[in-house]
Amino acid sequence: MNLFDRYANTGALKAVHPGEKVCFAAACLLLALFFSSNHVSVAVFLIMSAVLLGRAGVPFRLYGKLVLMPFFFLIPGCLAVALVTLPAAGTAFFVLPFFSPAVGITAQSLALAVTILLRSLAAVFCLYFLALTTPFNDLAWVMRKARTPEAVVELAALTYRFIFVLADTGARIYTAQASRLGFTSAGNAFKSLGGLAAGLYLWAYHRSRLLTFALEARCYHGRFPVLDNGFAPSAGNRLAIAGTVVLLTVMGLVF
Amino acid sequence: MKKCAFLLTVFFVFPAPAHAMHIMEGFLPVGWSVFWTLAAAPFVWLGFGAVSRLFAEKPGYKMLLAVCGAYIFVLSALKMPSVTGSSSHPTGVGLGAVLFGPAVMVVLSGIVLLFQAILLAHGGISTLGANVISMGVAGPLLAYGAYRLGVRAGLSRTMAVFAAAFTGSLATYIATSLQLALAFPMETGGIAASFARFAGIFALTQAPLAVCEGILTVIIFNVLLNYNREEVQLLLRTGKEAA
Repeated sequence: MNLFDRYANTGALKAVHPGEKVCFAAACLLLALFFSSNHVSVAVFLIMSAVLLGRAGVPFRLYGKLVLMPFFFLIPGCLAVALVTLPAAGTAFFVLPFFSPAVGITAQSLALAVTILLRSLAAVFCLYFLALTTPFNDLAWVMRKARTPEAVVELAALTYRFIFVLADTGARIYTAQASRLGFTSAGNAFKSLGGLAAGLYLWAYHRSRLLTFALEARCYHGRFPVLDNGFAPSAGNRLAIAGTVVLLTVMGLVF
Repeated sequence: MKKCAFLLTVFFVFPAPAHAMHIMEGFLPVGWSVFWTLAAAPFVWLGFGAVSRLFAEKPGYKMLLAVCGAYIFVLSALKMPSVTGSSSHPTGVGLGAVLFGPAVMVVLSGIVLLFQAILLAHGGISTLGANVISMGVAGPLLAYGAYRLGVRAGLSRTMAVFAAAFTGSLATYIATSLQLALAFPMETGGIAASFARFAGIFALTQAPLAVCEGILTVIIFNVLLNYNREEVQLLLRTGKEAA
């Protein structure tokens, strides 16, 4: 699995205060959603691209993939928004053949689809920024500071840990099956995947029991106290975030 | 017939979306994002209450739940062979609902969706509420309902599990289409017509996917029962208690 986590843990922005990164991503996301204007969306997209490529050190190849990925959802999604039943003939500049109440794309529906496409792209890039610069442990730190119930944070942290354990085991089982011709036909693939998923579940169950025993042997009482490493706040970063917010707000109000 | 021709065209032009039906970040207008977040809140609250009670009773339950969350995450990343030739991914909704019960699934799907957003950029933070409603509430509830109904009607376990997984996968997709239709009604025809277009476009990929997921879930379940009957039955009981 190609998880963003690797980049978050090795990227140039790892040491930056996670609160600042969360604020930056959240502010841009909210403004893009709130104004829902093409100008603001493009601005957010460009700002995020510049930060990802320039400061976070995201390689160009990955950046290309990041741009293309959302279109798997956006193409059918926006197509569905653009296709409308036409009230009268002649109002559309594209009409689908074969439909009795005419179905097509009007200038209005196309404009709406484009707005949604740009807004989604901008929003996804805010998410990319967060995902590619902030490891989960730092997010958990922010969640604790924001007074999220401890049980939620614990459960999320444990789940996070097990994702890697299970993904690793799953990948090994997959390799073992593939090397024994387990995926040569659709029938084989179903059988192999069923075995993989069931085996993985049993392994996961076993691991959870082992962890319970290990923790109870160490006097576990429902909390994992860890050292608070602390992060140095940066005046420059805060100024940059404030500047971006002001810029986007002005853009949203003017256009 | 005409509709079929249109759907086939769309299908060949646009291959299956690579991942389960999650509404993408930023796709919903801000008002609907807020609405679905508020709508999901009571379910998450109830689910979390049920889970917390189990935490207090059984100390190992938190570990088990975390492992199950990770399991659903990894399961949804598996490439499943699809009838149409394109690869697709199971949602894990049906299997989760049968194994853990719908109350637990709300909490699990919330956490899984959060990690899918921040580790894979599938779904999103602003659309988390909407996705929790479709994947954590509508899907598991109907899947669990189908499973219980199937068992009560005297279906074999295999058929009941297939029904659960099929229903769960399909219900998730119908709920998502409905959410999209509500957010983007058409000027002529309104929400109903809009629902038809979203459901129509996504049905091509989702209907065969639901069948595949049903088959896969049955295989998984049978292997689980063959090798670990006791533990699976213990889990089925815990799920029922939580529900």
